[in-house]
Amino acid sequence: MKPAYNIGAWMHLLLVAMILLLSVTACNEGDTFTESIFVDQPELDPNSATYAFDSWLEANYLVPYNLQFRYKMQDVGSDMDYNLVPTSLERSESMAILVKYLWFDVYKEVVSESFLKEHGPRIIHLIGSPAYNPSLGTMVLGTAEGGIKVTLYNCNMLDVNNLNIDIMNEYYFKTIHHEFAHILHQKRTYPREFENYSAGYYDPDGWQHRSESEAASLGFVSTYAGSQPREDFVEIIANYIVKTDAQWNAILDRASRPGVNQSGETVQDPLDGKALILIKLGIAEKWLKEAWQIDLKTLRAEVQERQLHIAEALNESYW
Amino acid sequence: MKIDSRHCLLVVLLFSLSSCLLTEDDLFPESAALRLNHAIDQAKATLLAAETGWVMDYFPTPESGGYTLLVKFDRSGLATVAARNTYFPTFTSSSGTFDVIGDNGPVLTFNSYNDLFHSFSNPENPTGIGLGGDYEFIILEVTDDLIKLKGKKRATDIRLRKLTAEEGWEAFANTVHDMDAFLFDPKAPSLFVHIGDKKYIATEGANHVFSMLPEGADKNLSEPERLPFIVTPNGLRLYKPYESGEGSEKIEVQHFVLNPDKTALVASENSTVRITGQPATAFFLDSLNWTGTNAWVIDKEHLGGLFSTAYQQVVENCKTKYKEDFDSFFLTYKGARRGKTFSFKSGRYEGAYDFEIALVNDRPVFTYKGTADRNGEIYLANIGGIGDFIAALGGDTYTVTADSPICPTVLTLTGVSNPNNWFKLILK
Repeated sequence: MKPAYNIGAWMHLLLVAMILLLSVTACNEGDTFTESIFVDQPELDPNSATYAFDSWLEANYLVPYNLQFRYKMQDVGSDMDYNLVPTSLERSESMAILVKYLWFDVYKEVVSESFLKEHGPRIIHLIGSPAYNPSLGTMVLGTAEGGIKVTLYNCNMLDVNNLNIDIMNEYYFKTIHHEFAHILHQKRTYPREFENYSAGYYDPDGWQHRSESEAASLGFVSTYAGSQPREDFVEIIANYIVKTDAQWNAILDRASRPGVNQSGETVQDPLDGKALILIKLGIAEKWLKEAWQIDLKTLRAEVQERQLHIAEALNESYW
Repeated sequence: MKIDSRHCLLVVLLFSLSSCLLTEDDLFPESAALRLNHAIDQAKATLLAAETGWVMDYFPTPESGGYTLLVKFDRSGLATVAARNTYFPTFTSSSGTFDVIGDNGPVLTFNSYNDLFHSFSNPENPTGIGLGGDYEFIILEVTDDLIKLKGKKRATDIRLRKLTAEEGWEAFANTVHDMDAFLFDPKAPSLFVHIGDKKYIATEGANHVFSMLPEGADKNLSEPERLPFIVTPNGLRLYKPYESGEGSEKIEVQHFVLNPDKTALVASENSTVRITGQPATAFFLDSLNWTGTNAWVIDKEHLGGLFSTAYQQVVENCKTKYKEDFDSFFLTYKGARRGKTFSFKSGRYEGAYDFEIALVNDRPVFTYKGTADRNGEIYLANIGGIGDFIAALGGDTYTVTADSPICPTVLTLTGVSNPNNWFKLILK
């Protein structure tokens, strides 16, 4: 028996009707693309205690980079599994200056003015505390979500009265370069051959139990680099950018010796850690040049120079 | 595509659906977005309207003890928070930004770090967890004098009560702190909770969470009831009403007020429910009341008669004979083998004299057993004054008065035969 109605024809008809309805709706609303994704931002209130800072953020992040520097913490924008706290106003101000000085201005100078406008995140979210994993004994230093948002943790530890670039790099600026490298390789994937060099030595669950020495001897610039290939890739870039020559050479030196584990025992492995790091750095450097037209050495030199002048950068009057 | 009767039918159906929707009654006169905006505006206006600010009854989690915070919201977007409590022993205030945002309904957020307020949320101490408190709160109910909040992560019920103009911040915080200090001390013996003819032992009051067991229950076998509370200017309030009994015997209490003679906290809802302390003489009776390593130290600034004379002698003789600064005499419990002792500390050395302490007619009687540890023997033989102090201690019985009948931490012992012989003991 033939069905009373042809379901296929009705579906076709329904689809046409829906397309028509949607077209009409779009036409009626008259949507156009806007320059900013933050189109419904409330006007800044001149009576607000943070007006001067907010105006500076608008002029230096929102307008040029289409980026919201989110220093007033939003629980909903954070990982609700962690106990977290916001960043203090003072430290947020310092972080905003330093992030611009050591990241945005560097790319503007070395790569191009438009590079971070095009490829940078749209949100930087500051969190005052670390994101602890008490059961694992680890803490999250930063996250990059879908190329849109970079979250920096532990910002309340920033001590502008006792500037220590090594600590600042460890918690913030190395993290920024680390997270930004994630954003870049999420857009244009890195060469798969990279993953072959340390295959079999990545330990996603136990990386934190390796010592720096042990990790280096296996060809990792940090313990976290030994967690998985993509972390290895961005750790090489981030460490190379922020470490001084002496610090970088110390990593290579460590990598050329047998590893000593957390119990103080020497660990034998068949790998040449230094050679592995240098090969992997070469792959990253080539990829940055070819995929992104970024000269890693020039970028590093600019960061190294600026790291010597962070006190002056902080002491300037901005608002 | 050919237009036929099916197309016409579809158009008719679509329009019918639309017209049906239009005939539905609106439950609310405004859209959800507008209602949310109005709720945010109303909450913000109410927060700002309290010129002298709000009293926040803050519980980090439904399981943890509460603390009183004073909060003033300013039009500039700053919230100033002040308190005096265990975590901030002196009156402290700190500012950070706040906002009322649209999230799960209107939400009050303290969104930049405030040294005081966020100390309850900071995941330090213990690392990774902290006290676990919220800093974003869903606004449940707003009136001019009371705002009811619920913590976003912990779902803790929190209240903001408008502070009246005549209540100064520091005075208010000090009143709450003084009440707290009067009621609780982590070193002091436990409290008793009386519910009708039942008696319970409540410990951990200093953490603002009563851990409550029926008197006589085996601590190792029984699971205590845990009742979080917050100290108020005139007593305390339990986080949730406490229920006991059934039917006509059912009792429900939540608010406790210190009675006029300051001997008990009495439930406002039912005066038969009371919280009392141990008697001032309790620690003389039961070694368990001598808590751990704590000691009752003889206050060198407050003693008289024979005790004053002997004490001065000891101080001088330690200085001249051993070139030592004499530190203190104290009464403490040194475990089952040694028992209760009268002890001293001088320079780097400690010594102990073994005592029997009994209560006769509710008055302590000290009896030196004649035995001491090695240091005790050496100092007794070489430092004049120690023997005199020991003799004076055993030479009389004493009336005992306490600074607080609920939480005694300072006891004054006055000789019955000769009231000129007296001394103060401070629990340390």
